[in-house]
This record gives sequence, C-alpha cells and structure tokens, in this order.
Amino acid sequence: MDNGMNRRQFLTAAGAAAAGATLGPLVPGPRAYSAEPIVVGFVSIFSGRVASLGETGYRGLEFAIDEINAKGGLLGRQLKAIKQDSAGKIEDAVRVARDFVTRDKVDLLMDHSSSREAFAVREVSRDLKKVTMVTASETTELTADPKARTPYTFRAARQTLHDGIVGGIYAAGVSKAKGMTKWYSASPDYAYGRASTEEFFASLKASFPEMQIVGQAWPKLFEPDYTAFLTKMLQDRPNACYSALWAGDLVTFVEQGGLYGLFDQIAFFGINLADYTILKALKKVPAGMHSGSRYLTNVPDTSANKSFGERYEKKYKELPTNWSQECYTGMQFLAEAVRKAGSTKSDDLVKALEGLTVKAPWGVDGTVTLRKRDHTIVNYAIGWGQTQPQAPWVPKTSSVPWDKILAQEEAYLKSKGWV
Amino acid sequence: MTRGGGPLLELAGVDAFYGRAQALFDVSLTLRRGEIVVLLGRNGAGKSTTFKSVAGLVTVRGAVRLRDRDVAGLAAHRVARLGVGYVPEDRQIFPHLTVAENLDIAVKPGPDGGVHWTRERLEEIFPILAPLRRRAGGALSGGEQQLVTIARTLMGNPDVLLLDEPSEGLAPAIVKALAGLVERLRDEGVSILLSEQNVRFALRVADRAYIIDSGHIRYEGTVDTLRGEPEIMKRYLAV
Amino acid sequence: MDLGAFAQCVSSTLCVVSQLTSALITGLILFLVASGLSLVFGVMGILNFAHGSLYMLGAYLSFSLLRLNFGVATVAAALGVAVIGLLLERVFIRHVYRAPLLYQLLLTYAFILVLDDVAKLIWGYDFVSMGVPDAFRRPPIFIGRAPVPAYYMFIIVVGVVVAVGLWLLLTRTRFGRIIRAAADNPTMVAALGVNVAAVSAGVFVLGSFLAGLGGVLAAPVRSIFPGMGFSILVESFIVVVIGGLGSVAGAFVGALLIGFVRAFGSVAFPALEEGLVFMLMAAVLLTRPRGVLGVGKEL
Ligand SMILES: Nc1ncnc2c1ncn2[C@@H]1O[C@H](COP(=O)(O)OP(=O)(O)O)[C@@H](O)[C@H]1O
Ligand SMILES: [Mg+2]
Repeated sequence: MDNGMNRRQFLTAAGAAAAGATLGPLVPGPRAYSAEPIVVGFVSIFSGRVASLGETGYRGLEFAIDEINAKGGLLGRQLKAIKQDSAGKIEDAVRVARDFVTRDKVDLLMDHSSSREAFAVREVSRDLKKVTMVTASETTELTADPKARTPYTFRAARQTLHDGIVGGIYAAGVSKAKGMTKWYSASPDYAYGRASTEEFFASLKASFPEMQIVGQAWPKLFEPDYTAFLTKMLQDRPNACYSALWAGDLVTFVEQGGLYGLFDQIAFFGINLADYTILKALKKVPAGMHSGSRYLTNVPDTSANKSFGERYEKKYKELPTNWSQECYTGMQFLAEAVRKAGSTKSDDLVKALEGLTVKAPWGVDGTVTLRKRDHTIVNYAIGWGQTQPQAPWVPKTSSVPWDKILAQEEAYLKSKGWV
Repeated sequence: MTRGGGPLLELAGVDAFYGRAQALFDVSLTLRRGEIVVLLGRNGAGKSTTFKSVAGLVTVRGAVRLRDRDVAGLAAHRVARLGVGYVPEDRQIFPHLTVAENLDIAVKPGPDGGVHWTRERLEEIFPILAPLRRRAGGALSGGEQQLVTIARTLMGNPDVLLLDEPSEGLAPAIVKALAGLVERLRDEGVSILLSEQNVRFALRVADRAYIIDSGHIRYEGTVDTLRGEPEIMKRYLAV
Repeated sequence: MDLGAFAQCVSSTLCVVSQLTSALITGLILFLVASGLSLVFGVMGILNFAHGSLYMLGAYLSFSLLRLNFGVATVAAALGVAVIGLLLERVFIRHVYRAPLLYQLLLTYAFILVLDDVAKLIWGYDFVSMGVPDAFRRPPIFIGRAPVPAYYMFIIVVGVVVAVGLWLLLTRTRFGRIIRAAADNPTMVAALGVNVAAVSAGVFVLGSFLAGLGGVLAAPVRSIFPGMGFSILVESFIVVVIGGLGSVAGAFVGALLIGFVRAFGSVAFPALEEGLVFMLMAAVLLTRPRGVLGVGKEL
C-alpha cells in the first residue's frame, strides 16, 4: 500500500527486536543514538482529489529528514515523522493534531492542511502550546491578523498576498499592452480562494486602475463540473480571468474550458498552474496561459534549486511539487531552531524561529526568512510567465523585487487594519 | 400425473417457524387430484402459514410432498415451477403494472410442460378481464384485484391452486361468482386447497375440510360430516 | 440573489443554450449513475454505497483502455464494470439481502474503501486526467451564437439514447416488467415461478453497467481520482430521494432537475448554488415523500 512509513516502521521494529533478542545481551557496545527520536507529527490530506497535497508534501518532509539524519540527526537524536490523513475534514484535522500532541507526544507539528482546516489547527497549536509549522495554507489572514495570531504557529508556505502582488503587477503589464480591462475570476469558494482573488485584484487595480471586474465565479472546492460557470463566463465576455483553483480542480477547469475554446478568447491567469503535477496531468498544456510559479526547477534559476530538483527526482522518480519544497523548507526551519535552542521546548523554539533565516532552494538569494512580526516566510522566489506545451513549460518568468513586494504588502495590510 | 398412487399434495408432520417463533405444529393434510379441500380456522390460526409452507415462503420442518416428491425447503420459484399456484390472502397485485403486465409476468408452462391457460381462455372464464387490460393493478377494486391475481396465477398453468381466503372482503354477489369459478377450475383439472373463515362459502364449494387452531389441525372430515358437528364449528370457528 | 441576471439570461439564446447544455450533461451523467442506484434499491432493497465506486472504476478503466481506441474503451470499460458488479453481487452482496440494514451499509461502505485503495494501487494516489479523445478535439459546434463542445453533444446523445433504451427495457420487455414488479413485491414474483435471485443479479449488473457508463462518459472531462465516487454517490442519493425510491422515471426527472438547478442557479443565485440542490430535496421531501412522480416507495 501507499504508506511505506508503516512498513518501514514495522521492519525497523521487527529488526530491532530480532537484533535485541540475539545480540543484545552479548554486545553491550555503544549504540549510535541513545536518546529517543525527535518526532514530527504531520497532518495532511492523503485521500481524494488532492491526495497529492499529502503525498508530495510528506515526501518533501521525509527528504529533509533523511538528509538531516544522514548528517547525524539533531542534538544527537534521530528525526522521525509520523503522518495521518485528515481527508480534508476540519474535525479530523483537529483530532489528528490533538492526538499527535497528547497521545503520541510529538515534539513538533507540521500542519500541511488546506486553509479550510488550517485555521482550526492553529487553535490547537495555541491551546496546546505546540510549535506548528504550517506548510500548505497560504491564506494571508492565517498569520497576518494580529488579533488571531498565536505565538506557536509559523508558516513556511507561500502567502497569497505575496503571490497576488506579483501576479497583479505582472497582469497589469500584460493588460496595458493588450488593453484587457474586463476581468473575471474563477476561484474556489473558501478562505483561500476568496483571499487570493481579492489580493490579486487589489494589486492589479493599483497598477492598472482602468480594470473592472465583470463577473466572478465561486465554485465549491472539488467541484466536479465547471460547465455552468464556464458558459456563464463566456456570456459575460471578459478579456481575462484570474483563477486560484488548484490541483485536480484546476486541471478539470482547464480541460473543460478547453472544450469551449475558452482560452482562445479569454487570457487565463492561474496562480497555481505551474506545478509539475498539474503540468503533467494536463493532456495538452495550452500555450500562452499565464501562471505564477509554484515549484519549477528554473525559478529561481540557480544551481542550488536545480540540484534540489535533481536529487529529489532521483529518489522519488518524479519532480518535487511546491508542497514538497514547502515541507522541506519547513523542516529546515524546525531543525535549525532545535539546533539553535538546544531543545525542543516550545518557548525556546519560538524564540529561535522568529526571524530565522535558512538556506532554501527557492530563496531568491538562496535563503528564506521567517519574519518575526507575523511568523510568515519571505524572500522566496515568485515568478509569473507564460506557458508552452512542453518542458520546461514556463521558460521565462518575470519577478518583482522583494522590497517592492513588502511595501505593497504593508499598504494592503494597513487597508485591512492588520498593521 | 399422480404417480405411485399417493395424493397430489401431502403435508406430513409439518412444523413452521417465523424466526424462532413456531406457528405450525405437526400439521398433516392431503389434497388429492380433482379435489377441493378447505382449511378452516380463525384469524391467526395458521391457515396462511400452512400455505406458505407449501409455497416455500416460510421455514419448515417435516415433509411437504408434491406428487411424492419432497419439496420442503425448496425456493419459492422452484415450487411454483413444479406446479403450485399460490394466491395469497391480501391479493398482492403489482400496483404499478397494468393488468396485462401482471398476467404476462406469470406466464410459464405447467409441470408437464403443457400450456392449458392463455390470456384468451382466461378472458373467456373471467369476462371482466378484457376491459381491464390496460388499467393499472393499483386502480382496480378489491373484487377485480382478486380475480386478476387468480387469473395471474393460472397463467403459470399450475395443477395445485392454493387460494388463501379468496372471499375475504368481497361483496356477496361476487362471492357467489367466485364459488362458480372455483368449481369451474376444478372441472378444468386444477386441484384446489382453499382457506376460509367464511364457512358458508367454504362448505358450499369444498369436498373435504380441515380445521386448524393455534397451529394444530383439530379436525379432518368430509364437508357433509362437518355440517353435522355444530359443536366443533362453534369451538374453532367464528360461527 | 440576482434575478436581473436570470431574466437577462432567459432572454438570450446564447445563455439559454449554454446553460441548457450544462444542465443536460450534468443531469444525464447523474441520471446514469442514479438510475442504477435506484433500480438496485428498488428491486433488492439494498442501498449500495459502493455504487459511486463503480462510477469511479468506469472512469479509470476507460482512462486505461483509451490507448486502444476511444470506442473500444467506452464499451469495454462499461462492460468491465458490469462484470465487476456481477462478481460483487454473486460473491458478497447476495449474502446480505435479508441482513439488517446496518450490515448492508457496512459491507457496501467497506467496498468504497477497498475499491478506492485498489484504484490507488493500480493508478496511484494522485488524480489523473484523461482529456477528451482526439476525435472530439475540435472547435465547439455553434447553435445560434452559443458554443456546444462536440464531446458534450456526444454525452447528450449517448445519455438520451441510454435513457430511452432503459425505458423501453423496463416497459416493453418481460425482464423489465419483472424488474418493476419485483420492486414492489419480490416475494410475489418468486411465488409466480420467477427466479428473483437471478433477476437481482441481472439488475445489479445493469446498475453497475450504467454507473460504469456514467464514469466512462465523465472521464474525459472530469479529473479521475480515488474517492471520486463519493460526491456523485451523495448526489445520486439526492436524485433518488427527489425522484422516488426505486423509480427510474423519477431518477430521470430528479437528475435533470438537479442539472437545471445547478446550471440556472449559478446564474440566478451565484452564492447559493450548492444549497439550492438541498433546498430542492427538502421541498420534495416535505411535499411529496414518494418523490416528484409519486411512484417511489415512501421514505
Ligand atoms: N410474518 C410473520 N412473522 C411472525 N409471526 C407471524 C407472521 N405471520 C404470521 N405470524 C403468526 O403466525 C400465526 C399464524 O398466522 P397465520 O398463518 O397468518 O394465520 P391465519 O392465516 O390463519 O390468520 C399467528 O400467531 C401469527 O401471529
Ligand atoms: Mg391468513
């Protein structure tokens, strides 16, 4: 079955038992790791249309753990992850996170849930005072709203606002050149989809005030059939459409839109398009769609990033996803904090994590930082560009310098009353 | 057809059960070829259960022999294919099917492979069938439903007909017609086991009678003998 | 709520045609799945939770067989699901016909999990996307100014043909009459000499075939993933409630109603689209507990 972890655990346990029975009494020599392992509890979605969220995210975590253990672990202890499926249900995600802390006594939590569950898991982290690394939920509000912030929650995932700002600036450039004033959106109807769309349009409007929104479609998450929305969009005749759909939803939307020749008439800006699972799932990647970079080996175009992609691909026979790199990076943050703090105590870790900078393949200068004020990651690569039907799919991307992103972010947060 | 000289249908020492509850105790009765036999008894005495024991619709212990072959425990459709035609007490017409469709479902050859009954022949015996053909079963009156369910069972060319309280709830005039019909069927070669609470009707058409009470057979004899036993009728029947 | 938009839509052919297409393909695919569910429930009294999984298997089989040829894939995948249905019924489900409801639910629910895992083993945990067959990769057909994708035309034609075929089967053949009679009273059908067990198996196979065909038709335009059967299962339950338990004609009306509510609801009540379907179900439950046509079994 798919959970190699359990099998490996079983083999390890069986092997250890066998070794202990036969050799234990005879060989009292030093054991490599005298202490208990440091355990990371990983909650995510491993089933259904977005099983790739959990599966590829977990691989990123495992990849990081294997590297760290190969170099001797942390504080002389091995690192270990345990994972559990929430099936995308809020109550299950909360239960899993609680059980991890109270029953399994994990040292660290990694919450790789969609935004639907992440807000609830944040409360578990607050309640149980357990350091939680959020690696999938991108909704700005999760860490930006000071009234709801918790000291223990950190985010190593993109923030919709950052992507939206760059996307809006990029889209403004394209819109001006082509005179695209009539905009549309098609995003999933929950916190993430709403926030992402609002922030993109805010940024677009700031750089291109002539734009107007002529219609918005809000299909539910995991909607199987978008035809009703697509035909409505065709009638409303926008010049361009922004979409925060993701994973299988996005693929289905693009396939069904293709049937209507939608993308011949409407420029498509999909923030989540350029990720390998999606590009490979699409039977034909349409040329000329606009996409934000999720994970691409060429964004940033550095040797560190390329090497990360290659090493990962060698191990898993597929390229990493954005989620893989976010979990990988989240683990780097946690590991570095444990090293710095010399412990796994929550309060020590919080101090170590705030403002922490680590090396990361997607850092614009090779590093990323957990901002002290709101515990969210900054300085990661964001590029927007156009698709082509074959690899490398998004050959050229344009970006925006981070000081400009941060300035615009500040203005937006002010408008929300969050700073 | 009756081989080995035994009766056409014979129950010998039959116990019947609904789950753990026993409804028949050591019931024995026989039906010979060409006979009309009536099973009398009050409500809840075990008449319907006796019929279901034959039709394969209830769990039984003991022997149910059809032409000397033990059919106890056979699936209902197998018993039917061996020539048992069962007309249940509450009619059980298929309400969403037309009369023609109700009849069509039951078509099959008799146990000897012959086809005695066709829709045309039935319409001749049951003149009211023809105009009802296209009506939905559920839209018929009680009397019409009773006739259709009997006709439906005949489409399967049975040589044993089990009629469970056919006169129940019918107007007197229709009961009279029913008596004529039962006799006519017997003359056409169908042997009939009938259950009744309507003693007058039963005694008019039947050759022999059994009385069942609390799952036990309490009386067996010819109709003429039973007529001379008012005490017995009073004790076991609501007369 | 946006009645202005709705009024504007109804007065434009473009809008009416496109939303109609949308209503028809959603409704017809749903009908294929729900009619099987309803038949199986009607005749066997079994609420088959695994019915949605058969839809999923249809989609996956068609995805795998597409390599051969689209026509072959369509037919072979639907028949393949019918065979799987036959095995399920003969090996497992027939043992629980008389069992308490809870056992039936446990057994058929277990199949959701098992079949999802089988799909994961064979096709992977991640969604796969089939894309429309090359024969249908062409510009949409225009009705007036309204585009209708060629593949959607195909779905509509197949859906309507199957619906008519099913209606003829149920009303014009003896097998169909027996199915309808058995839905009312299986014991009586057996007492008339019909092997109801064989009919049940036949109905289960027919239901599986229809669910499989639904999956096959949906496969090119919806993403395929372990667990995809669940949402259509829920919608099918709603259809069966709206249409009346055990009624195929009711399933047809119910499925198309849902299609229409979705398609035109997205115009009139963009914020409420999801809730509308449930409101529809609640309204039917309150006013017509036997379903819109009033011929189903009472809930
Ligand atoms: N389906 C059933 N389940 C349990 N008990 C039953 C069932 N049908 C009948 N009985 C019981 O078996 C006994 C005989 O019933 P029945 O054969 O229907 O009587 P009759 O036909 O003479 O009125 C009664 O006590 C009745 O309550
Ligand atoms: Mg009775």
